[in-house]
Amino acid sequence: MGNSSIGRLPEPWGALIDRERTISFSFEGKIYEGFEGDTLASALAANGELLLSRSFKYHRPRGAYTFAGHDANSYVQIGDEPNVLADMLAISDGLSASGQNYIKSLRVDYAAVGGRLSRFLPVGFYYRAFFRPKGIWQWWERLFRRAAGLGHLGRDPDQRYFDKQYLFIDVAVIGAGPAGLSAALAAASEGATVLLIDEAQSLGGSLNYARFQRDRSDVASLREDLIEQVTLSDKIRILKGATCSGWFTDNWLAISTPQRLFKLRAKFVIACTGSVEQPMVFRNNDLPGVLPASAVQRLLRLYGVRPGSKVVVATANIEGYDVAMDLLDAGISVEAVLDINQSTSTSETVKQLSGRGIAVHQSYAISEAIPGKGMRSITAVVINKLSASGETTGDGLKIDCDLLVTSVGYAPLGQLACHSGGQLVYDDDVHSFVVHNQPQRSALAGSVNHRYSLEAVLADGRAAGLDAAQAIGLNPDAPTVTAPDPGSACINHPYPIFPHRKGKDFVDFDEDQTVADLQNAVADGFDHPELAKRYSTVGMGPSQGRLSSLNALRIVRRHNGKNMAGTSVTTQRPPFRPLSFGVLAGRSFEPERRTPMHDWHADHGATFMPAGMWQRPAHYAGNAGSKAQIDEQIAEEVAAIRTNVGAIDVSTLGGIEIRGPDAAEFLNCLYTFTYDKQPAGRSRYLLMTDESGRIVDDGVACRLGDEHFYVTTTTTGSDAVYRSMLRHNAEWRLQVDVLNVTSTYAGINIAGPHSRQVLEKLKSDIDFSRDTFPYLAVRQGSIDGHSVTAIRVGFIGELGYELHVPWSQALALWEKLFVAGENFGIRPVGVEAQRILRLEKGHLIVGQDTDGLTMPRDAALDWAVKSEKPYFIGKSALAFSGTRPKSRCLVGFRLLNSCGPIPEECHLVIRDGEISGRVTSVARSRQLDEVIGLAYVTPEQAEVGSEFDIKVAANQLIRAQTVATPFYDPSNLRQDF
Amino acid sequence: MKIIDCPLNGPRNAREFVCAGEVKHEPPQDAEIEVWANYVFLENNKKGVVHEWWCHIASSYWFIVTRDTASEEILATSSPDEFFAGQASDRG
Amino acid sequence: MANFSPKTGISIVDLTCLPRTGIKGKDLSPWIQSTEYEIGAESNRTYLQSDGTLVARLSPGELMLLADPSDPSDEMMVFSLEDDYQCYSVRRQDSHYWFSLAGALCSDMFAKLCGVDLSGENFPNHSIAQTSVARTSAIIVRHDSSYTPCYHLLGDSSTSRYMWSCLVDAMNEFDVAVPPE
Repeated sequence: MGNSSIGRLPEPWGALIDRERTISFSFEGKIYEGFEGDTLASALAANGELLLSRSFKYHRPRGAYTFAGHDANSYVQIGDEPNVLADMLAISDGLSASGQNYIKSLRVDYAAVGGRLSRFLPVGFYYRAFFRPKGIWQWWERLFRRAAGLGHLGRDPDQRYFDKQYLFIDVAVIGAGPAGLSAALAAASEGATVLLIDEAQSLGGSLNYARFQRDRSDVASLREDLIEQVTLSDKIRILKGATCSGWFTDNWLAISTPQRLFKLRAKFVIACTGSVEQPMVFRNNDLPGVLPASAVQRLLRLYGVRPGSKVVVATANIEGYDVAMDLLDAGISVEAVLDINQSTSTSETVKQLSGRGIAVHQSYAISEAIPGKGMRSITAVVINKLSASGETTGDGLKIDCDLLVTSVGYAPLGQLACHSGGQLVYDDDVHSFVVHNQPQRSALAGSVNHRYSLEAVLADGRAAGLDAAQAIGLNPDAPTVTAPDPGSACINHPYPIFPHRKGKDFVDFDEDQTVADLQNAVADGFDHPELAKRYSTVGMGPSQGRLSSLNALRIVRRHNGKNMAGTSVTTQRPPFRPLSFGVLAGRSFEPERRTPMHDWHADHGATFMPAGMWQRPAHYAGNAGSKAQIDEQIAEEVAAIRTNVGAIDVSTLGGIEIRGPDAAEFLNCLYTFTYDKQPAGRSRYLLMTDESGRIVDDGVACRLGDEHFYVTTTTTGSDAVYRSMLRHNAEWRLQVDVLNVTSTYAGINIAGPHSRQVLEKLKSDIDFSRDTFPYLAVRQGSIDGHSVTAIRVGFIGELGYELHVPWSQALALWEKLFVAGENFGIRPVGVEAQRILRLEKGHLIVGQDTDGLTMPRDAALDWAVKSEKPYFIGKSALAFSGTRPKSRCLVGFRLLNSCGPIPEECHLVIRDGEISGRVTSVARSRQLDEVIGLAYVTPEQAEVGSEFDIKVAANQLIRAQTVATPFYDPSNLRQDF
Repeated sequence: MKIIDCPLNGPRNAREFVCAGEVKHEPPQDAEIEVWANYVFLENNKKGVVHEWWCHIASSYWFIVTRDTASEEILATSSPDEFFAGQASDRG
Repeated sequence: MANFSPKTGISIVDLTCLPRTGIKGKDLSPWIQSTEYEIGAESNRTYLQSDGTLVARLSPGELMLLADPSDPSDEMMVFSLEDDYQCYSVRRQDSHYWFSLAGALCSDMFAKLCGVDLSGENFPNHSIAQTSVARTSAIIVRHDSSYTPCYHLLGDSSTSRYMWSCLVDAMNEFDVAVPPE
């Protein structure tokens, strides 16, 4: 079970773990035990297992580096889910995890050969190696896809329930460390509601593990005190285990938890996101056994893990001395402390450390870590004296150790502020990035704002909290808070980079980029940080440069010889951490509209098809399985209307009422036809064009009174037409009121030679007789107690009526019609049959037989355009196009061979080998015993009787002939029956 | 997500709205065809302050947004009545 | 249902069959003046009438009238619009479904469907939000019953079934009372 000297420390070490509750889990097929409160990485570390994964390019052994979820080295595979952060994942009984990115096993990875071949995988090699000969990449890709990549994805659907929720708050505080706690309390004390968000399950951030150059018990009691205040406040809501993944315009925050995404709108945001401790760069600095100080403190204080037995500390600041004190307190042997600064630190902690007999090597750095077996650990480090210019000199001195702790400073976690417009800019005073262009109504506090002493951090948080309350209008009379003193010592070393002639001095652990790779990028001419990033891919891995951007920028700056003051890192984009697609997708909403007869259709064997958001019956073939059976059913539905009577649910048609003194004028302006002289009680065709003269919708206008029209639109066009009417009404300011009644009235089209007889069987005050209710007439009245607007229509070419009836009464009327029509053989008729019926009449469907370029004359609808009118939308464009020759026409056609293949919609019309048009509608008409359709053709091909070819497959042309429409009942006698 | 302050419904997420482009003035019916083509097909795409038609979808309410396209800042929102007060109707 | 508590849960009921109507038009304000209705000028808020009718002012030119669910009678919805005013009545009975939800956690549940803050003082009693709920347009009316937050939800009738299933799904994580369909 690994190295027994690594293990657990006694209490009080390990504040987060419950030693009473043992949890059993497996990693790489081996069973381990941990405690409740452990993460996968901490529990493995307690078992002496630091190795978690293999690196992306060279397959080097890697372990968790930050123990705070900031490095891709701790990605593991959990079942079907790849890329789970082992240092963020709480262990649970039966958890089964494995490492990623290896061939054979995590401990012995055959692909690690890439490490030895690294000189053949130079920086920018993707760009340099594969651009010739053509096609070579396809060959290599298979190999690299297997060697590279992170984990594998399960192919089964994820059955977990993901959800989304909006949140609303005055002040969002991101990060519940000392700055965040202090900011939340200050804002709440002024009356603001506060949401305190933290990734961890325990509040306190660095107060949980850091020493802050004092007695640890002081820090712990301060933590207790702050958490108690925050928990007791009724103004503060706490969200633990939640990551702020993105910060968007107007303080719109994405907060992700494992199965719920919160979309938070905050009036003010305080980012107390802290900072990430940065690596020191030297040979083999990536191996398990090299850790930053904060990671070691987390292991000690949070999980009670003894991270090593013989430790060397390399530091550039006071926090390295802090961690040395921690290690001594834990009874761990500290072999040496190196201070990479030139001058001696004189602080109290240093004196205490000397008092405990620890040798401090001043002005020394690490040049190399000596790997143990399989490079899964370290056995020693080589330390070298630094020259005055900060470079390692001499042969170095080897010190045996199994843990090297480095402390060379931090990079602020300012990514979130960058999502919303901020920039991280290098600042030579703090040797780090600072956030420029801070988003409006927000503040940074704590170490992300370069405050490191506990006093400065707390004061900074408090100031931000008060500032937030004031900014959102609470306590406006309070005196303005002055920004507190940032505190003393600079914590960052300006250049903690000690390249080794044999390389493997890693700058980016995600992408396996070394110092030499960046030097080569600069030498190759990619000498700006932006270019170097793209060329070398440094900072492009899953941790988004959190551990690499700062050092990479320093290296590029040093080697390009240019003054890089104010250089920023490349744009940071959401998400802050990789998110699972489940969280992003959440619960999906797919609105569905149903007519009042929906359940009736379903009960009568309807198969539904979508039309926009609507569900419409396609046909009523029930469980009929084969295409032939369905076609037969559709043919019967067609025949019912042609010979008896049928009913079509047309509730999905848009309905709009126009009222007011200018109602007719309003329609005149919107549509191409004229409506001012249309008599009440009559309907008239409507054709709408846009400003470029293209057909956008059609329908019927029923004049119900002098100042009252009822207008129908196409099913899918109704929302857009209604909205455009409202806009024009706002613009033109006529005396008109527009009302959408699409779901106020359902529609029933009852058609067929017997339709009048069916209606006459019901009690009604409407006289349906031919002479009093002629074609195109509109009547209002009641049918068996249901108030109805009835329109004589001819769309499908038989005697027919559209009955528009209040939504809540439609089903009752529909059922009464079926009772009344029983003896006439009435059938419900679906959309498929309706399309054949109208095609037999040669009627076009806007959207199917028209496209974004169709003008009225292309579709022979010139008759519906009254160009004498003073104004309508599209008039000028149509007038101009009328002076130009026609380029295409929508015509009816029949196939010469009606027994051969049948073209489909969008099959091309071919003339002399060139495309000259396309088919828009096609169907076999049993009535006519022909295959008929509509197609766009050239004006020459539009002559009745001319023939053209349709391409139905590669090298297969079939012959069609242009015919006059309507195909069926050309004199329109039947609809005027 | 941006917040748009609808004159009828108050501040709402931008997702509740659709934009119908800049407020444009139709040329007279007898204008040259080039003028019409410009009006129909060319967008100004101006960098700076523009007036745009926006519709609050749920209430079908149209209003005018005055917006700086460079900074994306919304400078004002107004009802069509306020905006067009005193202007002649565009129609024909 | 028996153990349901409005403090910890949410109840939902379909009131679609109850009377409601609308009035719309440019002359709405002068028409209101001519009636006995007490309706303020402010849009997007409700005005409770002495007969229990809840009047929702959706815009300067549009009202929706909801019957008192505890005493619904059709008569109160009958009124005459005189020719003097450009105003007309609107069949809201048909155009909109009407669901009613009650319980202290309603606003938390709505936060899963709707981007407007409907909680506490951010959406006080008598407020109206016309907004997107589960990606369809809807009207949310807050009308508390004694001390229990209560919300009427009205939307396009054709989306009634869809919305009901969205609401029931969103309510699942709470202590809920849903009548059988």
